[in-house]
Amino acid sequence: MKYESQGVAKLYFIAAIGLFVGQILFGAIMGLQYVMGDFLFPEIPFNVARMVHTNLLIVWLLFGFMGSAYFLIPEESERELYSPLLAKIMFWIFLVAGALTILGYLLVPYAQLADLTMNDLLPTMGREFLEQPTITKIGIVIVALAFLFNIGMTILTGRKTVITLVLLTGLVGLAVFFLFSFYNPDNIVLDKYFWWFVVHLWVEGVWELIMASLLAYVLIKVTGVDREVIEKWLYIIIAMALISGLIGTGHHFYWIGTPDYWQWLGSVFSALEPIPFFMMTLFAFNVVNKRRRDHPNKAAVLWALGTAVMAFLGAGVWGFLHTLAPVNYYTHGTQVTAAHGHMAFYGAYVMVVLTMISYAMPIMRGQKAANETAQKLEIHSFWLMTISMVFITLFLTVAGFVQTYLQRYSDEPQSFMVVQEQLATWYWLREAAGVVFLLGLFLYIYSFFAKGKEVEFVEE
Amino acid sequence: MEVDEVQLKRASRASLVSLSNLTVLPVIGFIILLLLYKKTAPDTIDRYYAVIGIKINLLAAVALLLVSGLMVVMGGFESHMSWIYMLSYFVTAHALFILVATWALVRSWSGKKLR
Amino acid sequence: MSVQLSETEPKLLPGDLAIWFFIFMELLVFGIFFIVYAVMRSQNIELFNEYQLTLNRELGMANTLLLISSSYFVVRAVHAIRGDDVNRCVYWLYAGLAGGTGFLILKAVEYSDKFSAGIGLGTNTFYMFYLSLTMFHFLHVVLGMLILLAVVIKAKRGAYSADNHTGVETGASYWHMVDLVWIILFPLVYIIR
Repeated sequence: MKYESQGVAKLYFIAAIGLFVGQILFGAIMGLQYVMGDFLFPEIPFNVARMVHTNLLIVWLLFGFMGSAYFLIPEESERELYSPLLAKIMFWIFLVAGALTILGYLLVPYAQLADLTMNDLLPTMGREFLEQPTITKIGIVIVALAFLFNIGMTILTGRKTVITLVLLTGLVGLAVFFLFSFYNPDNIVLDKYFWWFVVHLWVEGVWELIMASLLAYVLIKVTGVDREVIEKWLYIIIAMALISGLIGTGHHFYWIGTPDYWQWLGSVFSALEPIPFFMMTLFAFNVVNKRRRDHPNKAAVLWALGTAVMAFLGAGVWGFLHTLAPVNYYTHGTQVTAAHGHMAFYGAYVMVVLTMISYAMPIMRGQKAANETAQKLEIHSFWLMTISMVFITLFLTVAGFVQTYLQRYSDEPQSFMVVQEQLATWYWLREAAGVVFLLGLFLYIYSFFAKGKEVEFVEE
Repeated sequence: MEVDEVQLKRASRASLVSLSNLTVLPVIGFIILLLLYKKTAPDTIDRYYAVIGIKINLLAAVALLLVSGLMVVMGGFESHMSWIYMLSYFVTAHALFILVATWALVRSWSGKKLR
Repeated sequence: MSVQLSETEPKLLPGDLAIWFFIFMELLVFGIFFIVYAVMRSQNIELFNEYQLTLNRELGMANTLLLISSSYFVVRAVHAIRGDDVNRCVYWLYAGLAGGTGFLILKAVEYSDKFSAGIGLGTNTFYMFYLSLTMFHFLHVVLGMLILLAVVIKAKRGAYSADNHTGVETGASYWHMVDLVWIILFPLVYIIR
């Protein structure tokens, strides 16, 4: 570790992994509820499990992004973090607020939670992914501002690189777009517009910038390829991501009572959204192929390559699959969406955070790379998680196609619940794959504690 | 193997065309690839990548068109399940071929063989 | 340099390879857009023909000339830097930027005219395409100008010379793409019936 203050990232990463476990546990519970509707009822109803599953995902990814930024920025800026203390305080505030919110979901009925947190004063609750009580949302904004101030001051007073600037742009965008979540118009169509401005512009806009810069950073570190080459790629990737992603928001506006030009704009622009992801794959392959050294941290290289490939498959291919308006007319809101969501979030954002953790964690623990046994276990866990996620996606895709046909396309369309019963086999298979994923995750955590022969590192 | 600039350029062009044939320029890409192949000499890097490209694309044609076709024909043209399996299979297999062709492209840029 | 080039195969593309990836993607976007336009037009020929007449062809023509001459100025700039004449290169780039500015002004006049007539994306299919295509192109003109401006700033700092002017060629290549798209867009949307 070059700079003392990079160490704050460790807190964030540990919290991120902890919440990740929670997310997957609730995913597994919910997967079972798909086929056994009364499982754990009334303690954890399906809607609560779902809320916890998605909210934990977002919160732990935010922890991961912040941790990554705290690790990456001092090293890139060639100076200590502006205020490590502020970073630590914000960590605890965010963790406590996050935990209280999740407990709130689990312990009190949602309507009561809204009352308790005085949602009436500024109603923002009740929308998918943005279910957090208003005070939690305000807390998120405060934490984000303090975080941006902290890293902003570090970047602006230190060495400025393309990577830090792209990362900062992404993180500022993340905070700015979140502000739309405070605007909650009565008109439900307008409400959806602004809701998507948060959700879409995050995952298909500014988060892509964050992801590209984190990936670029790890690739520079593990391959020793010239910064110049990597920066050039970064420029093109983010330009394509923004050109396609911003207007690509239109693919959410097809059938919600919006003007029909969105069907054209959404289709054309979101058809291009796979391109930046494809370029990321090309970029990662190219950089690894041109590597100047074999970094001892093989696990990190694998995670980086895996991110590029899985993001292309999950976000690019599976997104394209149902993004064109005529296709989406039938597949809208079916299990096809769930398939895409799972692989895209795992492939793009989960994996990029795990890439960062894989690279940074050994360094923060005073090694260049984890020992051989630990790396072997980590690589096993990579394959367990990734392959089971591929299967989750495939099973959900097939379920989605069957659902689309039976419910929307056939000559005698059947009702939602009747169709759901016919998908049970696929849901069982998905649940099995989900359990394997959970095992992979446990193995991943275990790998941090495994002892073994230290890897040898030839100094550059 | 000696690699000169012209061969290197042709090798990367061959892999690029092979990737295009899988994505934006089906058939046309393959014809260009065959024309490129005719320009190459045995035991050169460009011949190597032209052959790789041809192999990938022939394999892709069999795996994507023939197998998908068989799935529908054998499963029954009217059976919706055969279409559903075919679509899932096609999307997955097609993406995998694109990834392989991308790796070939990257390797050809550096003038090295695949392995 | 011509001597050197004639010995090996000539360099395929001027400027940085990366910008060509980008240009390729951009052309793909516009290409898809043009195809969609053509398909929609063939389904609504009467509507398209009727509203096409409401467009201001004179302004469109003037804009075409502005962009073409601006492209020419940028070519002159590349020639100037190949002759190691940084000052002249900067002047020609300014001329190119002036052409772009003129384009933006005329376009703004055209839009304000349409908007004040109450026309928007939702008015009808033709206006939807007219506005989204030209506005998307408008944004590209802005981006192209920013790129040219960056080239001007770097040139003034003495970053380019006869031996090293990839940056100028890169900017010029992008600018030509912007011009090229307009040359297709203008007849397609304003003229062809």
